[in-house]
Amino acid sequence: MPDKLEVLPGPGLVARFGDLAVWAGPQASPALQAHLVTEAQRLAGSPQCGDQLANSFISILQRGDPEPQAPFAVVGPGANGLTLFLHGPVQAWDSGRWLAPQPVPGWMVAPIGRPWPLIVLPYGAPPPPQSPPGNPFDLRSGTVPGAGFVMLRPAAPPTPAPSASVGPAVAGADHAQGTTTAYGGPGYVAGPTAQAPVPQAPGPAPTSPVLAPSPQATAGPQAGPVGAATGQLAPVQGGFPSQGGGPGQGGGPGQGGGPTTSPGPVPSAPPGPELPAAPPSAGNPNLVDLRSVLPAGTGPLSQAGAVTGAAADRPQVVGLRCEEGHMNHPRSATCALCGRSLSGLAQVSGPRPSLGVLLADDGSVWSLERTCLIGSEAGSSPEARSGTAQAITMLAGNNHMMAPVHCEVQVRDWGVYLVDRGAEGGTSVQAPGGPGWALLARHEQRELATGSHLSCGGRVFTYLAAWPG
Amino acid sequence: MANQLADYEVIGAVADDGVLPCSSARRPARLGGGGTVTVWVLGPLARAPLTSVRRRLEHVAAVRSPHLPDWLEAGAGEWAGRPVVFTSATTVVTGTLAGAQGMTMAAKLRALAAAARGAHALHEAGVLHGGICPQAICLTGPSDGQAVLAPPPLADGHQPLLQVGYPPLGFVDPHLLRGEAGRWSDIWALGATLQAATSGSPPFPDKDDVPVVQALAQLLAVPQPVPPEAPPLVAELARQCLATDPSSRPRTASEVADRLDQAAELG
Ligand SMILES: [Zn+2]
Repeated sequence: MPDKLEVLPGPGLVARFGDLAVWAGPQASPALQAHLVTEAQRLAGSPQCGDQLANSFISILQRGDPEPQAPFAVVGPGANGLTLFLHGPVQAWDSGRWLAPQPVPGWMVAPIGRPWPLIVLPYGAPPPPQSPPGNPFDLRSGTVPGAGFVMLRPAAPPTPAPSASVGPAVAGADHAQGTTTAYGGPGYVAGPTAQAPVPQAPGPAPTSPVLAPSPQATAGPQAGPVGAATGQLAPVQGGFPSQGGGPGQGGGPGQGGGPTTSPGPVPSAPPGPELPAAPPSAGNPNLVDLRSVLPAGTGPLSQAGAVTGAAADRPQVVGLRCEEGHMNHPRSATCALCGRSLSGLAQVSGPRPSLGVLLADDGSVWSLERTCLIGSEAGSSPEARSGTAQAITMLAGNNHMMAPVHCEVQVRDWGVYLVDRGAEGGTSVQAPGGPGWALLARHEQRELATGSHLSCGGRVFTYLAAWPG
Repeated sequence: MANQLADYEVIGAVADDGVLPCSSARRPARLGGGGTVTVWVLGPLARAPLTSVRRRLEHVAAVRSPHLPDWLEAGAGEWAGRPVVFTSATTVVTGTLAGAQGMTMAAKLRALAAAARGAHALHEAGVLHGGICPQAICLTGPSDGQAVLAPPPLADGHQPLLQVGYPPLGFVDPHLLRGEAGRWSDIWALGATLQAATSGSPPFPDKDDVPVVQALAQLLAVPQPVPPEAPPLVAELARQCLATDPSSRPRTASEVADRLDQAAELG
């Protein structure tokens, strides 16, 4: 008897073929939606079609994610009960915890046993109300519009537990006082105050069926994905490279909470067994419970062979490339990375290495791989948001004003330039060994020599070049 | 020493040399009460609001290893009159390699090996520690050489690359300052820590940040040589870890750990 599948009304697409169910959000391209449906249809019926479909997506994603912002989910039979694959801003409730890719967007895969209910919906969306008994809706086969779905026990609804009416208890800041504090991102709906039956979750999280990248206890062989040939899923949650993870970035709609086991939306009426109690730090913005977090799943760090002297996605410059392929400043005599001689080599084009660092007066050190914006809200600037510039967020010093973007340290070719952005208070520079501070004219730019100090908003930075002058 | 950090009642300082303040504290009633826990002050809140470092701390805490602390929480609190980010763990720490007096060479090597295994567990999960130094090698006793690797700094070799102080600049891989952070950065730091543990002095005597950062950024950092009285295996390992070319260093922290244990075995 197949599980009952209730489609949640709203934008998006839900498809089901046999035991395989998929959802795609409206952000997914028509091509992705079509691929999801045809692949689900093609694979449905094979014994581990959930694993197969997840693996086929993983192999695509490992070559690069064409649509990182497109939410979609796959649920189907795997080697260990159901396999759940989530991509992008999507979340799922497996009757034990909320699961979401981390970082968001990203992707993850986990065997989830056979939970009833299983809820799939957009990240940050409020959970659906409990399905009323006798609800006739049930997608048996085909493709329909929908903003998510709920998989339920087939036939008769589950016997209501004594606590079935109890509010979802991924909450509860202070059980000792009998209060339940809501916890979660937007979309959270306060449930009824949890009473006694809410289980405490002291210590580590409930036994988690999520496969972790396994380096754990012993320094064993490297954990690598298990190939699809075994029919097993890679025991990793996948993340994408270069997810900034900066302040409040990438959190999607579920801002305050990292998508770990417990933070996240709280169903207003859980259509099934009660949820575990939240950690005691839940609800307190000054505390993060670290006892039950899920692995980030970014995969092992690369080994030394990966040192290139410059990542491939950096701007191109003309310089000297050693026989190992390390890019160097055109005036270098030996490779900074491996020490090989560069004499007699012709100049070639290649990705630009870091030109040095900015050492701030608070001891923070910033790499000059690309233009940096300095200001009190530098991260909100269009350049920082689009990734063309690096934000250095600095608050004003005493009795000074710092503009949201006060000045720039531009990186062009092999040169580093200080550029005033016209803010009140201006931008000053002091050359190494120079007589004192010189105020730049509005929008003036000046090339920086190593050891130069720059000042804006009452803060001071020192530029230190990575390449001999 | 402060006697309160958030709602943790501080019992005593484990390490208080300004690099990574570490204290023992009573487990708050909120967390079940009873027993002793360890709290570390990671850095000023102004530079690293909890929201901005939360994900990194969670990534670190998700890695479970006997060579890493058994995490409880991260939080924001006040320490010595300034707002800071801290972490706590149930692991009881009795001291650090920096403050260890009278430890035998074998015990120091074993403690560093344990920390290297902690680093390896992090690396396998995609996390760079970025703060390995003697103050980050936390002794857990009761027998000599048992240790865990302290919580990592809030800056992690990305942006900002680092926050001067933890780790001290003498333990920073020069490649980290060129935006080339990786396992090799922690392996450099293990070599620098090994050198400090065997020679008794830090790799860089210079105390002024600017010339050290300049030297690091230009890959001009040349640590002091390992003293001749160090066991040959140890001297060779430190030399390899501190190689300028990352590909000449040991490939993994696990390899470093094995070689440290081997050196400890041979006395
Ligand atoms: Zn080279």
